[in-house]
Amino acid sequence: MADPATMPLIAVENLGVRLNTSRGPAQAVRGVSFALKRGETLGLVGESGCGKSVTALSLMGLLPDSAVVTGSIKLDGRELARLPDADYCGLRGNRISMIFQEPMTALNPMHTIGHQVAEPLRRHKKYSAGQARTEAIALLDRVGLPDPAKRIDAYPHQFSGGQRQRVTIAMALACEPDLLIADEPTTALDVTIQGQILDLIADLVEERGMSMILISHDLGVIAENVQRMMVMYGGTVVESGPTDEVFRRMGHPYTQGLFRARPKLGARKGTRLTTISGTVPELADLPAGCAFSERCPLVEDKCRAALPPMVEVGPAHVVRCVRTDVSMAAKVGALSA
Amino acid sequence: MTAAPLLDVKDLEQRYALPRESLFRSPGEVRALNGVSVQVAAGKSLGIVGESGSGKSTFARVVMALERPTAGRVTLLGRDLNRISPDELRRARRDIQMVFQDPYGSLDPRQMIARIVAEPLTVLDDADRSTFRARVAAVLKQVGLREADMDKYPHEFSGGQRQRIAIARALITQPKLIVADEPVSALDVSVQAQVLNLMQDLQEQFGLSYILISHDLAVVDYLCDEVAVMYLGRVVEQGRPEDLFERCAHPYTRALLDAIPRARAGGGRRRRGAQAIASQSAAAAGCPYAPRCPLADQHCREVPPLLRRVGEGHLAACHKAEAVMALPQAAMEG
Repeated sequence: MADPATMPLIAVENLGVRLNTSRGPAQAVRGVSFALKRGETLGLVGESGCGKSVTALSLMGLLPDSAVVTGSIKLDGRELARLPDADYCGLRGNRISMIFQEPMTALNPMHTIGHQVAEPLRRHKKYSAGQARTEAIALLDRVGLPDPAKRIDAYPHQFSGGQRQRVTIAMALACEPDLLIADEPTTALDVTIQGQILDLIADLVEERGMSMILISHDLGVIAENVQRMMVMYGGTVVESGPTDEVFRRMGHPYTQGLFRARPKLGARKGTRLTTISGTVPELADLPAGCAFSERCPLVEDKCRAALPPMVEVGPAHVVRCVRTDVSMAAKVGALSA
Repeated sequence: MTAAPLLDVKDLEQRYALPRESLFRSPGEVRALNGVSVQVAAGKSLGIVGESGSGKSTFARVVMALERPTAGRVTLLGRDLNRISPDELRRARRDIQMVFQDPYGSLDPRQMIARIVAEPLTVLDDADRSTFRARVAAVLKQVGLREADMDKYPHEFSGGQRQRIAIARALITQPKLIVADEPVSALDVSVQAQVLNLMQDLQEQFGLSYILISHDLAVVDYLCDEVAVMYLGRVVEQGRPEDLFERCAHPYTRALLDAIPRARAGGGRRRRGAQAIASQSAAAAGCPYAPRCPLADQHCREVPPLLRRVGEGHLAACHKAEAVMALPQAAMEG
């Protein structure tokens, strides 16, 4: 057995997911690899349909039955890909937990929040009803829900959006998981509440030594909350590295495009936003070469021929582009700001 | 500001009754708007920012005359929208159109684009049906779609294209004012930039005014000439975006600015103070923001601050506006 201190908690190797869609089979994720040690945080950025949520769902074993998973997902050395659902049930909510985007739909409107927070404790830790209830109150108190002893028997509709998200966080944390996956946890919330929820997640990750995968489309949320990040496009990772490094020296034309396209506060009046032309490709008919080739300003024939390899451009900073010599010269990124 | 504004909103109030909870007590009420006054000049745009529950969307619905306000006036081109006859109101609607947040929910999936986009015309008396298709084709071109798109259904389009269709539908009556409620928040970043550029182009081309409702301060900064920050149904600060975002005078505006995550290297976590959430129904004395405000003192809790001038065209409802303006300002993005 390898030393648990150096062995990654979760190691994903060449993960591929093929989904059956109404438009035929779609390769939603292609060749995604990463490893996460205990206590590390990783961000996944990208637009809708880039495969970031499918990657998360495959870690949780929540893909539809028709999905075909290739490659390997190892949790503490144990293979999870293609694990039977019955075995997955022992892990989900126990060793791996997930916080979803919409707190209203993630909670069951027919059950009290106390019941829902206690459910993983009853199931995985075999707590008695009384024990689970006491523990649920403690958890709800920890996530900052006011007056948890009184409100434990309330239903989800009696809470605001931010409070509901606190309840789903309490649920996810109930069994002290090793890995927390947060899929756009604050997208449905106001910007001031977003700050509080992200602070809470950061505190809990630190306090319990969990690893976290944070999924977001918001570059600002990623910049402030994770140590490493991966940018996904068309089912592949196009750029990956330490967060500061990626923001300092963006290498992939897509990362640069995303960064430039955001309206920035305090920008000069009358300036136009730099757009990325075209739209996100359909996963069912991705181009043969680089998925971004159809929208890329630097595209060449060789980009369309084959999927470009990962190129190392800095310490642990890799970019899937054959034209990094040109793209990196543009010096996009937040060097000083 | 020029002689007669395009839209003049005066002391707008809107209250909703809550369900009766006790036989012996009168039902409570939600004060969604508490005296909002703003003006929009022709060709200029007003941005409205605030959190959920601040009354942004109620404001939009009342301005669009979809709801009757409890008190106050909405005057569009000199006509009080709540006093004119239903027939006149229907005709007045050609000057004021709306774009909604969700481009998936706002287009009828069973209708073809031609019919969706032409629908506002069908309610106007003078419309000539034979010219509909030509007008739809023209307006689709203006928003960057093709004429052939007329005979397709909404599901054949992406989110960004659908929002273009929604904008085309708003443009077809040649309105003076478009009320856009979170028009880009459901779109991906790269597509959001395309739609924002389109909205800016259309404004230059047709001299449109927008009321842009958004929780994203950067979007409002990009598109608007004036910004109003709302909190619990009141405008707490108003002014040009550069004044508001570089020299904000209300602690709430400052809290909003501080809360935006900045996309840059070495961001790291900045701690934010915990903030209680205020209630919309209580009509407490004093400043409504006082329970959340780090600067609040006894005076703030007792005397409600009025919206007052703190600079050229810059209004704020805070007793301590000068103190807030003197604080070092939040860092801007490059």
